[in-house]
Amino acid sequence: MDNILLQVNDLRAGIDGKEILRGINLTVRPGEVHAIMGPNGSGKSTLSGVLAGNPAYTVNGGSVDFHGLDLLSLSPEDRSHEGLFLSFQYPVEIPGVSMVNFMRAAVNAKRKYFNEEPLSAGDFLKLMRQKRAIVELDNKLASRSVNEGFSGGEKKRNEIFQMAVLEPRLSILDETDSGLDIDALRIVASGVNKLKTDSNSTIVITHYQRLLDYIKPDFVHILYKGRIVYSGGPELALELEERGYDWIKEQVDNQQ
Amino acid sequence: MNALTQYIELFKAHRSTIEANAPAALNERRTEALDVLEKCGRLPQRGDEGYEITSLNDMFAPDYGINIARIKFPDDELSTFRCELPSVTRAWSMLVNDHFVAAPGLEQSLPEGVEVMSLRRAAELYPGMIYGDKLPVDNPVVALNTLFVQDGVFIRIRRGVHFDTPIQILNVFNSATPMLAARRIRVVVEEGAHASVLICEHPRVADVDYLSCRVVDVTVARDAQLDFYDLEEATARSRRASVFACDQHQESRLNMSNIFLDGGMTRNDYCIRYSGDHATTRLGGLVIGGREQSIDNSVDIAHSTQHCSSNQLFKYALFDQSKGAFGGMVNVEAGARYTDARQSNRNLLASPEARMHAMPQLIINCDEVKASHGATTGQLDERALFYMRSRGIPEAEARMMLINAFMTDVLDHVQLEPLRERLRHLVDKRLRGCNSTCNTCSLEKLK
Repeated sequence: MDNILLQVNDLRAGIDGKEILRGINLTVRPGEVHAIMGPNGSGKSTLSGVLAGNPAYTVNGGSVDFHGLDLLSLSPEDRSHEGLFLSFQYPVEIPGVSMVNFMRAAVNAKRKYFNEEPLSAGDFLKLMRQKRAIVELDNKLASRSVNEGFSGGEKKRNEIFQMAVLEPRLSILDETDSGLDIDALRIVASGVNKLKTDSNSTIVITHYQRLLDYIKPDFVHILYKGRIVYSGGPELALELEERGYDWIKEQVDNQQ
Repeated sequence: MNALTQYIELFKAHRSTIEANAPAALNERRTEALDVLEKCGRLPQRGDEGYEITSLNDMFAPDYGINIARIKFPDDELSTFRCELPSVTRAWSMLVNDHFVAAPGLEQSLPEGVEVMSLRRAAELYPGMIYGDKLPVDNPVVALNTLFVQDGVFIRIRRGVHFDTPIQILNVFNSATPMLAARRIRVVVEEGAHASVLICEHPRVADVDYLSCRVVDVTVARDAQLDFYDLEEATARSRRASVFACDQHQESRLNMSNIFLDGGMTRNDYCIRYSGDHATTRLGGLVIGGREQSIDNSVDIAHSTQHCSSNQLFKYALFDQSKGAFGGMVNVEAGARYTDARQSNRNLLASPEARMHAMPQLIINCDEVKASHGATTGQLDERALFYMRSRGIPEAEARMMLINAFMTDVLDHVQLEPLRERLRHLVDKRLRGCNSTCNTCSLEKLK
């Protein structure tokens, strides 16, 4: 298993007794960008939720290895400390909790996990300033409550800002393009690209090929009925854009 | 068992001792109170209307001692208590059980026109001022208090005087045996005057049963303002039955914030009455309940005059097996035109065993009023919790941040900035599970 960041084996999971993921297999190596595409209801958001540890989902089988750790046994907070980041499709509004307190708690929790002292006020503010610049996020948002009253674009930029601060090894971008106009999309995508290195990896979950014009994937997977039914290179995304999902659905449904 | 009978009998048997140890003005109303209680027949019990979780009968039933002969308690304990408070000039005093103890140098710390003294002394100096006109004598707690009251605190802010420093009254119990204290706090803010009062409640000993039977009787005169902060940080074995009654005159302003951080069983009644138009009232309540605590706030606002506004915001966060109740009655009487009455009660159940009873009520007998009321009870937002955890914030801390956030707007009502910050800190500390069993007042750093 050398040089594998994420190894998903036969992952099965569901919600409220309903099975949604029916055996996912996926291998992600450092530096790779994977796109996961698929029609509505295929299980894309369930996959990201299960990987991030959302307690709403139940894991029914399979395993996930994250750089040598049994990911499924870790709490959501420890997954974050170990370098997993989920950019939410619908970032949650938290009235009464300011962005700055939220980020300070997040940063210092991670430092504590690695037995480091909390960041000084000055260093923290400097870090915020640096990272905000990556997604051109307005300073004023810092004093506002988390995501409260943010526009759709601001919410998504705020997700990438948090990603920049936490410096994850694996980022899962769940429908980051939804609700974005073309300018916001460009800012968000360029933020993601700026954060890209040879050692970190990205899973981009998306409906449309559009985002993949900006964030170039190395691999494209098609998720359908809870399984990855087709994998290919970037050209697969273009083919989907042209032909839709029906040919995949037909192929899979006929096999069954 | 009928708890009331034992108090009536106790009073009848010892009336001469009680009255011999109290000034005449406090004795004046005992007959009236006795009549009220004899007519009641019994104290309210759980299930009576307005008493959904609290049984005053059970609360008063244990055999508490009442110090009617006014035996002095040893001063050494008091001096240790006093030592732990900073000697910064500050207008504070104590009620030890029901006994008024002035801080050293209290009088010198007060500007002209501000008086803080024992109710006994005030009853001699200002016998006509020791009862508010709108004190609800028919309330059983007020009647019981009136039957036994012998001392308390008297605060008078004379006409036009603005005193920014909060006048702090520490309520403490100091007795090795179970004790009931009939405490009376009388506040008179005269025309155009402005004051703030901070009351905190801390028993000294954690393993003794105490019952605080407390009446706060307030008059806010024309164009005067009172900011009143009431902090309860008691022990599992303390009980409290409190009535806060306020008579508001024309264009007067009352800001009341009640904060419950610790205690056993608490019932607070708020009785707001108006003697003039254009008065504003703001009542805030913050409750953090835990263990098997029971916290009951019951508001009764009667709008009888015009252009007055009242705004209530009560928030509860309940943990463990704690129980909360909120009863809010706003009665807009015929003729109370242009009233603006708002009421909001929001509750967070942080454990599956916690219970909340909310009863917002609005009676409107007048056109041309604005009124709203609402109550919600729910759990922490699981989506928000997961969002925070996914950013690495540990679950316990995330919960605490969310509960803090939930409470924040009640604390925003606290006018005095250093007090607000101090209260925030106390709430935060309470949520982190540090029970400040208080030998020293946690508000001391305020100064």
